[in-house]
Amino acid sequence: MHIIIGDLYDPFCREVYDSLKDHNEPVLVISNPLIHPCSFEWRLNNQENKSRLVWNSELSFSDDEIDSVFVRNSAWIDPDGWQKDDLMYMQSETHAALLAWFWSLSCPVINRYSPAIWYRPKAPLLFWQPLLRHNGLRTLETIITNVPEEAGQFRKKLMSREIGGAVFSSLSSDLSYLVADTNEWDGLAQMQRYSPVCLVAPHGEPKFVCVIGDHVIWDDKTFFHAKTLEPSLIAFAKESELSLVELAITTDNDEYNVIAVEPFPTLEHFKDDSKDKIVKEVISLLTSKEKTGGITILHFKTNLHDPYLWWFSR
Amino acid sequence: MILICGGLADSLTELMCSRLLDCGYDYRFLDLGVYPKGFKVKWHWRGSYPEGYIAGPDWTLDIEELTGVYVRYIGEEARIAPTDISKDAMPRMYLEFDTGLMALFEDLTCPVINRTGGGMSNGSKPYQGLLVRECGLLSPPTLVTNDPQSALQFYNEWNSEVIYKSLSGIRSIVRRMQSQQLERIQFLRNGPAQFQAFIPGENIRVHTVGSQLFATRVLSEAVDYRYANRDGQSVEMEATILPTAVEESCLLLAQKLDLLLAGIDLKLTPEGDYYCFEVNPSPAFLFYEKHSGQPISKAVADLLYQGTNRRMMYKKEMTNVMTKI
Repeated sequence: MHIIIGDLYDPFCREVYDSLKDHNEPVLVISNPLIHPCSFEWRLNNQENKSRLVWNSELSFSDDEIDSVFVRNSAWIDPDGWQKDDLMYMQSETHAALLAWFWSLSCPVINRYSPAIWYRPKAPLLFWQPLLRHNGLRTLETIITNVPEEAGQFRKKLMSREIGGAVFSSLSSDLSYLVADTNEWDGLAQMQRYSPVCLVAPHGEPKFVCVIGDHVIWDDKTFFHAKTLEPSLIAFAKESELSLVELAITTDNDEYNVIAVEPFPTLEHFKDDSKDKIVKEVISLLTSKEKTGGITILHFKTNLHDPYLWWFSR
Repeated sequence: MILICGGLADSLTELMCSRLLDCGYDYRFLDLGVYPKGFKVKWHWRGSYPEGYIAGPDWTLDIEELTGVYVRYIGEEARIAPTDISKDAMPRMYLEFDTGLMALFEDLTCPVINRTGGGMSNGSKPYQGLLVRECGLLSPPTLVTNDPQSALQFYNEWNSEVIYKSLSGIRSIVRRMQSQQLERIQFLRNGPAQFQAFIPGENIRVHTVGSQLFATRVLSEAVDYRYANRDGQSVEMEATILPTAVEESCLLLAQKLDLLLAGIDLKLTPEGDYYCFEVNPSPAFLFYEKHSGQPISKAVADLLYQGTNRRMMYKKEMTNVMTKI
């Protein structure tokens, strides 16, 4: 049984669901496997790691009967009927349980998110920079400062490259806007009285790319840097422990820069033929029967003479 | 130069400042209680590690000078808000401030105690439980479920010797499962809970500081010794030695979690087995240092002082090479 954690209003869920059905693969879409009408049980000890899911008292399957999991959201709870504090607590508990359960499964899980990504899915690009850089991927020049003179220097530098402004980019929300004219720079200086601001060099229209395992699907195949970037993109995805990740890349005077990383990709940025390829590769991974990650539970014995001389066997 | 980033009202931050002074290690203090007021910052990314500075009232610190950062983020209640900003806007502003600092600290080449990425595993106890096993430590039999029948079955299997606690990073007191909890078991359908077989034995708290390890035996009758006083119980502590393999497993666990400072909760059973319950990425080690006398803060200070800035090393090496040419 393939499980999709999400709902069919999500176009990506729908495409994957339909495609699995077309392949005659059994598939179930569950928005939250940890609340009624689902019944979830996961036992973990030093010798075993076994879970069981019962859906709507109808379907029951153990972890070794799960062929794959496609994760599209972190299983939200309908707030109706909950007190605010209780809801927040239960949401945290659900997220914690799911994160761990995904890592316990031996089937393909797309994506088996690290805690850093699971708990910070909309992290600003700055948090991705070390991994991007480590894999040879460039990003735009960025400054964080509460000193108006430093912001002014940044502005001058951009102007010397005939770039007429900078993008203010909030680190804690999606808010971003171009700071171009004198009034806007004055307004920014006012903000800097209270807070450091993050400014990024502006960029042109992005190209979108999706990495699925060892495959790279571009929305614009004519993108000049496409082929040269692919090994770095695949390496980045692997190091981020993401089987599926979307990036946005821009070019400026033959230089490219990564401007966004989306660990919960959507299909909305891709044309139909690229969408089809992405879904095809996702299906290929989900039906591969290969483990795509996870934590190996080591089975160990203790030496009776020295309780902590471990043997590990897999 | 060392950077301490925290609130003076936080006892651990205060302890570290005192310890650094004691050791004669220079440091600068970024007071999160008032930050960014009184500070000037510029952090610049140009295709490489961040460059720039942090300037306080009477000092300026170039990022490249840093040999170590010790950071403890603080809550709203410990911060002084500007008087001319609406109170409602402050939580979002604090988040903006802290996110900027986190972005900087995640990308520094010197030791940072602790980077936020590593600490996020604490958001899921069963996730940590999987890593605990991967590192070769024993973990209590655990059940995560939203099924009342499953919980009851587990309770009976372990002869009513079961505790329950939160799955997430939200602090909960470890409690024994008793009749009053069983009366409410049907509410489990509304969401998952974590149950574990009660493991009898002595509590041992391990603090790992880089490659050093301090094991502290905790003597208390309370189910959760952190709240012993609340339950009218006492707590005593003393330094103890662990088997080498257990030490190595603890150090490996901290390393896997990318934590230069970690607090690891173990229990030593009467049979001589060591069980691991949790890894704390922001351990309140003052409590243990005070009771046991173990020099944990000294080890932290030394790590911050001896931490090398890899970029500075590279620059020095290149300077030496160029001088020879």
